[in-house]
Amino acid sequence: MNRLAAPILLFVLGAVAVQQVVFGGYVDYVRPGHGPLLAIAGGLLMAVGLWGVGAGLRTAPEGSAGAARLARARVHTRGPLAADRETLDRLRAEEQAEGHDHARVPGVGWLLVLPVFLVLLVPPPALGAFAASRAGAEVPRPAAVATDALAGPDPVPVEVHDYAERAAWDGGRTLAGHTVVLTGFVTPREAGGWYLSRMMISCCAADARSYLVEVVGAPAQREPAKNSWQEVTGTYTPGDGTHTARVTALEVRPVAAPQDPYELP
Amino acid sequence: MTETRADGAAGHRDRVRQPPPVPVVPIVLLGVTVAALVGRYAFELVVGTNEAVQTWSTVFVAIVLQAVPFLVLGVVVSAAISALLPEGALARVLPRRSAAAVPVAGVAGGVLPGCECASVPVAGRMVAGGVPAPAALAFLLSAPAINPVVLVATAVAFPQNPEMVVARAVGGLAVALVMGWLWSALGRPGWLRPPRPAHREGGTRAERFRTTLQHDFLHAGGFLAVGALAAATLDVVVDPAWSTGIGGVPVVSVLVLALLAVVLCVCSEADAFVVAGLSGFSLTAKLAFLVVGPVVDLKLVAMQVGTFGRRFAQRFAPATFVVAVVVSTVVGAVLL
Repeated sequence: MNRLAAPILLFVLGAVAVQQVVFGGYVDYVRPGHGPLLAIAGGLLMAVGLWGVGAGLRTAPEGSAGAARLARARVHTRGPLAADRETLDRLRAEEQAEGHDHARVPGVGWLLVLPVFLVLLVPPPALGAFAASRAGAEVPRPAAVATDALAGPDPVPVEVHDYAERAAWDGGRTLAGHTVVLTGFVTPREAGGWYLSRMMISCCAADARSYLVEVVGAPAQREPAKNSWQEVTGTYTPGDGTHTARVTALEVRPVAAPQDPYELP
Repeated sequence: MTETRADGAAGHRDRVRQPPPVPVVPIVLLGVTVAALVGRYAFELVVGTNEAVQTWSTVFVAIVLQAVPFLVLGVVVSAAISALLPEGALARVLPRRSAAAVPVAGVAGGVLPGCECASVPVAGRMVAGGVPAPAALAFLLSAPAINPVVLVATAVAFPQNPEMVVARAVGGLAVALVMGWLWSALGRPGWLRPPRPAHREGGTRAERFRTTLQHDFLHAGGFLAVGALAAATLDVVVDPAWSTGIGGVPVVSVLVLALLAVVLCVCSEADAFVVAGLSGFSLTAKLAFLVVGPVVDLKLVAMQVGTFGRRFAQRFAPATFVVAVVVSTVVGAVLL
């Protein structure tokens, strides 16, 4: 492999980062606020990659000085000009020491092809029912439960994590008497029925927390497909476990997946 | 004798007979074409639409994308240190005695507004540029733990416990200093294999900057990918309920959250939000999570192996873990 491999890899990585921001795919993996940083970093990698391709094309025929010396010594295998074994070993060692470090892709660097492959060819979807069901139905304890009244006239749209926290950690005090609209995806419930669920991330999908709201009531009887996005209009009902959330549905209707799949703190 | 013959004789007639360079461009084009044509189908054939695999790849890609901007920041700084600063400049700024250089470098870590991915290549270039290893290691540990972005995030995540911010800053800095001093007292030169300096003779400053940046990014990025693979695998394999029910046990809960920090590999800018949501754990246990996470986690250890060698990481990472747990227990007892 020659001096072009490393700059090309750098360029491709940068291009994928920029592509994710331009076409919006990145919100499946990191928080939207990360976009500008990702675009700048990607642009920088593309620029350095292009610069390296340019520099590599200018010097590629020569290769590194050490590689050229080694190649020259190898040409003569016999006759008076032949290099002896010692010389060859020394030149090889010099070439390794000089050229190896910086112009080439360090072996482990090729692992970065894996995220590129995944993102471009089999883009992994945003975290869904599998991830949401793993931590159980208990709502993560909020730093502080929102105690302010819901904003706007009924039916009022509420974020799933906001509803779940008010319901599970504040006894639904601020929810009672309201008709709320929740949007989330379907996570099947082991004991029957289903949850309307949403993941919340602070930085990226590796720090995701799941918020599950059990949906009960007549419109919830026909169980929608796992992972499908639904809009539930309903009223607060106390959950049966400790620190779990539940809603009684007045209406359940399928909706398109939102632009940003995750909720933010 | 022989070498002059080999060199001199080549000059006039053998240039054209060099073995041709490996044709990277055609190989890459071929690879891309094959991947585009069959990659998706081959992938689906092998793993199907398995939800666990999908979650695994989402988490893996997320960790890499999350880290890329910070890694770029880190390698820009590291390449600048290596190519633009005169040789030994950083070492001259620091006090000569490493006992005194450690606290200066530790506090200086507070100005690099990144997470752990940024500090590894920078620390590597510091060592390569002649900074004493204990000082560079103090910087490595303090930078992700006590920079302003991380402290503000902690304040936002613990609105009712502002003392958590103080405890985190004190704990993070203390771990960095203790490890720096420990290394200067007990460390052997052979344990740490510093990165090779960028070759000084090769080309202009700009060219050195570019090759160092390129090398450090691919090197640290590769090890980041190793860590992300491990973290994503554990994320899918380990039952998230394993830690429930132990929150009440004093010593065990501290150890459990410290281990969780190692396994989860959450960025130090996000870890406060994650741990704030865990119910049933004491503030001291949560502090252990916040102090251990930025200094020992799977991806960080993988990057340390890459930058300083395996002999270094297998001693440094466990020692850091023990020091971090002890420090957070003490700080927690005093401040929380």
